[in-house]
Amino acid sequence: MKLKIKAVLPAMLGAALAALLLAPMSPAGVLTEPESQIVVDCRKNITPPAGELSPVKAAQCVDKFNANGGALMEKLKTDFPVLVVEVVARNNALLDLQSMITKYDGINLAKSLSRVIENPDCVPCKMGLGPAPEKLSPWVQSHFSSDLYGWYNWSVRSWSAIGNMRAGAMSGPDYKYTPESWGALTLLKRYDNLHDWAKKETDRLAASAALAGGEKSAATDFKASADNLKIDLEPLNDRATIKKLDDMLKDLSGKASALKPVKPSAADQKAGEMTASASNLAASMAAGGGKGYLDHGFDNAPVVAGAAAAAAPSKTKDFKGVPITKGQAAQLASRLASVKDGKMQGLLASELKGTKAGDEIIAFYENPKYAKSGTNKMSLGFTKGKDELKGAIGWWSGSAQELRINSDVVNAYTRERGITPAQLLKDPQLLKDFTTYVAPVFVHESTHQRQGAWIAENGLDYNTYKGKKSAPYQMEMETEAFGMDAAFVAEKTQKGGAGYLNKIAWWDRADAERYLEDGVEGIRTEKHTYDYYAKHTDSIPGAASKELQAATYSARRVVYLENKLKTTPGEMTAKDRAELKKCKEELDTRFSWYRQVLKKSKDDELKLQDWRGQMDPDGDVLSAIKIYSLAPSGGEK
Amino acid sequence: MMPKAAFFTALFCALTPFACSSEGGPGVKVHREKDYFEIALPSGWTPQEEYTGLSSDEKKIYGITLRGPSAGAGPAAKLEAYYYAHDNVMDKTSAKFIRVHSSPVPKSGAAFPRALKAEGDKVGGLPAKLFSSVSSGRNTAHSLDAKRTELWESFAVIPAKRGYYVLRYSAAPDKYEAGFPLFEAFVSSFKPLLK
Repeated sequence: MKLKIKAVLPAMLGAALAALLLAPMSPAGVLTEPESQIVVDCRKNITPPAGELSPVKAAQCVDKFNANGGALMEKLKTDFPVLVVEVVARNNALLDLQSMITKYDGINLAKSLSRVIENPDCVPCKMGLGPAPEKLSPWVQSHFSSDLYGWYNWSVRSWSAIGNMRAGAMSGPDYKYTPESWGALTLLKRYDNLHDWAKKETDRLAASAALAGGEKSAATDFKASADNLKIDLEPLNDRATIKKLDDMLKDLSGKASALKPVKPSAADQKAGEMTASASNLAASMAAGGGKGYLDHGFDNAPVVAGAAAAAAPSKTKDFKGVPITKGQAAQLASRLASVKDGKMQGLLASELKGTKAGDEIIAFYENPKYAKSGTNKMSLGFTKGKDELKGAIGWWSGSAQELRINSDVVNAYTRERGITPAQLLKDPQLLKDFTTYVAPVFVHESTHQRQGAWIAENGLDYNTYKGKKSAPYQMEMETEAFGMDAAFVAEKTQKGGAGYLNKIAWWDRADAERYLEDGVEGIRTEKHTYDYYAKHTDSIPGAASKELQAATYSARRVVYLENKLKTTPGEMTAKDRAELKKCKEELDTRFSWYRQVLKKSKDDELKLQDWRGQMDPDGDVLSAIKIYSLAPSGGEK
Repeated sequence: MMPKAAFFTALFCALTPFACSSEGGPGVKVHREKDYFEIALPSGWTPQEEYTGLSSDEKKIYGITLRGPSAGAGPAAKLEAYYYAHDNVMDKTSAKFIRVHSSPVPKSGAAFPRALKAEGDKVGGLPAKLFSSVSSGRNTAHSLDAKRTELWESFAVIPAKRGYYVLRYSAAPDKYEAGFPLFEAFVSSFKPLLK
């Protein structure tokens, strides 16, 4: 049975809401009775205090609003824009919260949560969930297990959960916090303070240990104290201080203390239990992970020219490396990639050609439609990564329309192989091998450029930054980019075997391994724990909640102006009409963005999963990568 | 002899920090995944919820992932139980899945995770392939400062009529042994509903 929404919905939603729903009807404004019930239930869910704020209900609501390409959203958008903006935004926000609370804990949860609840556009805060993390505690208690509730309070370092030792230190003369002022701190500031305290305590403990005697029980006490301090050192990955503690314990072996440290209380030990795994995990990472790329001591390498240098680097005492100059960087970029007469040229074009991901990237740079709009301009360059980009391998800047690879990558590469940038540019084989080395990051960053072109093509670039338009950045853009570079490496491995694997960076092999092992979902889950993404990059539900909530003002103006147009058309000015048009367009664009990124995410995943099946039908490619990675030189090189 | 449910209760209680809450004992919650399987969920482990990407129906993969109590900076331990329909988007056959998730044992005598053992190599009354592997990843985005990370994993792969089941345990190497008995209990509680 079809019902007229205007007749039924206001009555179901109550008089107060009915006053809000005075928009004129359109032919699209027809809801079935079940649809009306969905709207009523889903609005109730996100309206405290009567609403439960149930994440289970939120999932059902979002599913129903997203079904059939967002058909229900479209219907409601015309007649009840304020309602639909609020219902879709807030239910998505609940989903986002649920997802991060069930997937992460400890500092990973703190980073993700701070991204959402400490943001000026915090949507959960509008439902009473934030900005202080303690405001979420009752909600966590209501909707999740008692275990998770305990973990949540500890993860956000609530005053009541940090134990007497930490609370005592934080309220002492060095910090002077009260439970109230502690509760007003940002999540990461809490971790910073505790880390700062643990660092100081480490020095005090080490000083005591230096005077220690030989009693076994005292050595045990020192270990307990050290383990307790590690709990606050691990989240900030303070390897130097942890090493100090480990060295201290080693020295104490066979000795014990003359000055016994204060033993952690039962409450502190309980907190310790909750994070005991943190120190263990980090220790294992150190043991299994080894040192970073730049820590391999690339200096002191001999000058070895030609392909042999790329394949088998060796070292001498004297070679410190020669940094690439700006002129050489420009020359290197032009040798690697350019587009002439609509055709991608250069060494990267050859490297990419014949692979699924690579051919897509080449097709992007050769796409005449994008060339006309100027969104596929080849802008490869080598620049030093500074500030937030320090250490980054490459990046795509939508505002500058620049694809960059960090010149530090070139410097590290040449230094390791004992060659100079001039030699790299001169030797065709060296240059070819270098192209192979940087091709995966080029695929990754050019995928981001392609996303920008797609966004512009579909009119979804409604944000403006430094005069450049863009769409909201969200995690699925990284999932696709990592999926593309991983698929590229996997296919190149299929064709080139160990010889190819020997020429690329270990992190590119690791991405391909993740992709071939667990597909796109494996990439999605692993990448969102990365520090930068956890702090800055919303999931689709999180981004959708912010973007739609931000359209609330426009939605209200549409309701007001539509009503004015209907009731007193003579009073509508040209300015009113222009504003109505603009606000409607803004609503259309945001809902369109939401629908299209959801669809694109699924389409990308299906495509990448299909490629995975085609390029490694029997798992041989993955086996080759695993065997290579286990070889003595295959770890972090 | 201790009843099976009581055994799990006792084991989960012993192995998880918050299993025996003050709210009246742990109890073992049994998860039923459609008409595919049932499995007991350990206390203190959190079912993960993910709303991005393909749905279960779109992937044709059905089940549950549980995050272990970690609080570290790295990946948490996980338990998984899934049914892969024959037309799933990941690995169409159990043989492919096993191949993909197997890893070579290092010859140098380096540490390697132990595999699950089951009487007659059967799980839930069905023949199963039991094996372990090492999986590697990295800890940051495209960064020169990235570190390699390692996960130890154990699997029970159980072929079914039209598809297969996967029970999986992942943990950082130093936590692997501590959680392994829990995985054994998890696997023991598995009840396939498709034969």
